[in-house]
Amino acid sequence: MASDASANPTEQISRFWTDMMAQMGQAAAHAGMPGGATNGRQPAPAYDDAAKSMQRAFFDAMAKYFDEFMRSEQFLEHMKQTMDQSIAMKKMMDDFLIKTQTTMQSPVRGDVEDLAHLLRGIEERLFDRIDRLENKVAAVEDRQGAGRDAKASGASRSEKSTTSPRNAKKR
Amino acid sequence: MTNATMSNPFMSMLPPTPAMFMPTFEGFVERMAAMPRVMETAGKVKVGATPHDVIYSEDKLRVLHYQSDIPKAHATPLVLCFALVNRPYILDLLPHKSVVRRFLDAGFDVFLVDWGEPSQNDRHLTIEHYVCRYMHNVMSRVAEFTEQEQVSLLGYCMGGTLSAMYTSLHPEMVKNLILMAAPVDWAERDALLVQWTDPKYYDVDAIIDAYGNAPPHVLQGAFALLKPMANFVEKYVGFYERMNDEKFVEEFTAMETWGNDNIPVAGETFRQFVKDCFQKNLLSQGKMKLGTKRIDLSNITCPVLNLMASNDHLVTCGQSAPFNDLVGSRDRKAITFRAGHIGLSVSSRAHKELWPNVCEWLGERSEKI
Repeated sequence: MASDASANPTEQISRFWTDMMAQMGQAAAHAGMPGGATNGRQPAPAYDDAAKSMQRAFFDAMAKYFDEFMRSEQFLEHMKQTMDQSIAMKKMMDDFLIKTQTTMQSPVRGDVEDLAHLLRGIEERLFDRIDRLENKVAAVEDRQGAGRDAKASGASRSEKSTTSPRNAKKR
Repeated sequence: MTNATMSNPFMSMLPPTPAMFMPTFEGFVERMAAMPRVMETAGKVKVGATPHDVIYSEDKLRVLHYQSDIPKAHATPLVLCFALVNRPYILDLLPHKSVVRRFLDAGFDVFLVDWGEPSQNDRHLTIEHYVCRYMHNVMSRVAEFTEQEQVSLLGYCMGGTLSAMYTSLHPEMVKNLILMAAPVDWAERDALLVQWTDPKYYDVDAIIDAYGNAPPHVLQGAFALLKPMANFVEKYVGFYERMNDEKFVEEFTAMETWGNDNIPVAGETFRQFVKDCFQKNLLSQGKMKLGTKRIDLSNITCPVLNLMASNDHLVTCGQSAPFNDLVGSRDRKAITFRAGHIGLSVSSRAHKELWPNVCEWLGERSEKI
């Protein structure tokens, strides 16, 4: 989302600077920074508090500024350009290395990836077949179990029905 | 004191008496003298130290089973699933900042999914591989190992999104679902990451086509840039100010170790996550597909606990909160805790106030031994 504040950079910086100084001034004033409290060896605690408050105000102002900036059209465009350039650079490097390695008759990353892709395809097909086989076995076991149940209940109605091996495996 | 210094607080900083700078100088000398001790403490820090066995491994993935002297009180096991970005030991960072230990202390049988580091040959792994294959195998293995029919699942960050997807596809396997700072709805466009991944500026296809996997340095840089002052300035100022505190140094080093221990994300997974989630927001609309299977979050009917961090800059509450309205569960609860994205798992306050409540919630919904 682009911010309208990006129109005039000078105005933007001066607004940020004024805001930040105002916030730091307020923080110092709130902490009651005494002007002549530094005569002793240890600074007055109020001085420390004021310095910390001003530091906090500075960090907060900067964080707010960065957050606004990182949402601006300027930043997003710059990010895109940087990324495009780094991708172009990466491609150029890759092309160069591939050409060099190919000339040297050595395998390149693409070859290894092709191999991995082939293996992955074999693996996927094996998994599919195992899944199908599992389903078939389950169906056969269920049918056998149902047959046994029917037989058992037919032979002796008082006996408890048996559980199929597949169901028995389930906890 | 002059009138000028009375009215203008900045004037009070001006008198440069030597006495004014002495304490600062002394503090500096003291810290420099402490350097060898700091280095020694930092060198001793051991992250992810809770004892564990590996009960299952597949490709790069490992499932860790944590050991504890505390007797088990709950039969239902708990599986922790972290994001594919960074390492999962953030959930077991240090003994006193370990979510794993909180659950062990509460009598749970705890397992953690370590996805491992994908290489270039894993660039083809999709979300379908992670959810339908790896996660299902992990859940089945844990169920078999513990002789339970169902398993409780806790997903953190992107791991929470994957856990939600898994639960919607296999509701029969999940006893309870806890999401922790997990994004499910990207309709709110205010979040910085959502703006950065806008298709107008972010060509995920070009990045993945060029790099194969999502490069870890790019991901880490982007995450750090979300809070530049906090990550590049305040953190080090804070370290300088507190480097005399041994416990602080230990925690700082542990966090830095984890923060810089980045791993790439499998290319196709990253591509799909950015496109379907960040750019098209398909998950919350029930339109996201893993292979041929459509993810319908209303299939989730188990008890749900949705943990959100109010100061989360990475996953805003607006991205997590809609989850409770999208599921079909009747027993659902949301907790918004005052912490950041990582603070949810490592802050002292979270370990004192949040995790005991989470353990209680889960304990009430788990099978007792």
